[in-house]
Amino acid sequence: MTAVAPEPRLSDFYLRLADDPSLLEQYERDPEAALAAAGMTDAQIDAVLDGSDAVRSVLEAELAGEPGLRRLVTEPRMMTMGPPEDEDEDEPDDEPDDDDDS
Amino acid sequence: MSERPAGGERRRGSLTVVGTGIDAVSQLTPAARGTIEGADEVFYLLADPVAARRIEALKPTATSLDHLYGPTKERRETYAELVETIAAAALRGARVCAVFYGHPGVFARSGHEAIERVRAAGLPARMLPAVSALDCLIADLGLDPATSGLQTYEATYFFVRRPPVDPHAILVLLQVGMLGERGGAATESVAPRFRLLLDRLVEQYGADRQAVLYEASPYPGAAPAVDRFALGGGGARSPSVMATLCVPGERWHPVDPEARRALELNGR
Repeated sequence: MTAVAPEPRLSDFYLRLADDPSLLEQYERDPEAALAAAGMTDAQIDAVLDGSDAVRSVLEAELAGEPGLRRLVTEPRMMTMGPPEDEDEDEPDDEPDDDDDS
Repeated sequence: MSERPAGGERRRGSLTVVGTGIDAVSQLTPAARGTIEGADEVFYLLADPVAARRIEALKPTATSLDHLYGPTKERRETYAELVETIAAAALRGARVCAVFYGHPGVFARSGHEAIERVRAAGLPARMLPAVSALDCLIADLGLDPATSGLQTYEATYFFVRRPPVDPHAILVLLQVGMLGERGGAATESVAPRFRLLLDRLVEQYGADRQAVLYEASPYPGAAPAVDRFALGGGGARSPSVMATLCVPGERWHPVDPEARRALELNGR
């Protein structure tokens, strides 16, 4: 009985790119070839060629199956919001004060 | 505002706020990387799992701040807790690095406020620049703010406060996928609100003006999401949480002859 090699993780490949400028250059020039050379599956390669939404789906699926990594899959969070919609700090106060006798 | 470790040497806390860029694989700067690796405590808030894996690879003890968000929890409350968590660690004497996605100071208030808090305590704090979603938009859509100007607003702010619109300039509205939302997650109400926003823009630009719903790619080699449509054409999809709406500029502003004479530009 032959052991089946686990499917390589796309997120592992991305981490390799982060630390290997020559691999990143090769990937930027020809992503399909670089992914294939790294042993990525056709589905993973197709996702990258399809765009970022498809990549995210693949990443979420692969990390959801890893107990130590699934906590990293979170909703994108906003980091700012405007001032409260019911406040207008700069509104000039044209009303005279009640105790203003002048 | 310092603590004395076991060796007796007094340590001063500090804070550096960094960004991963939109694509943490290829846009994290060497300066940001060095700061993350050298910090005592690293807190992060990121938008995709590859970025989180990268930060944890650089600093295995890094702590996610995502748990401070809740679907219906007011984001203002979350932002206050982000600032408190980050600043408190520096005030305890740690060299702290706070990591946010994109540029840590562009449409990201908590980093600025944490720096203000730490500086107010007499401790050093700084922010390192990074690649923002706006930078990616300019590159991917081939736009140049120098051509006719650039206006950019947070979408809810723009809708509620109605700042004057310059139809010649590029208009960029961030967070259209969270239009009117106060909590940590988008709801089904965003889609009808987005249609109201488009109606408003049709009043200002006309129905035929082309617009783009854009989302930068957080992954190298993967294309960004770019959907082009006419503002009044009914062809716009509902925006994703990370989507940005862009109305490209149209024609240059007219020349003021007196101003041109004042600069002695006539005849050039």
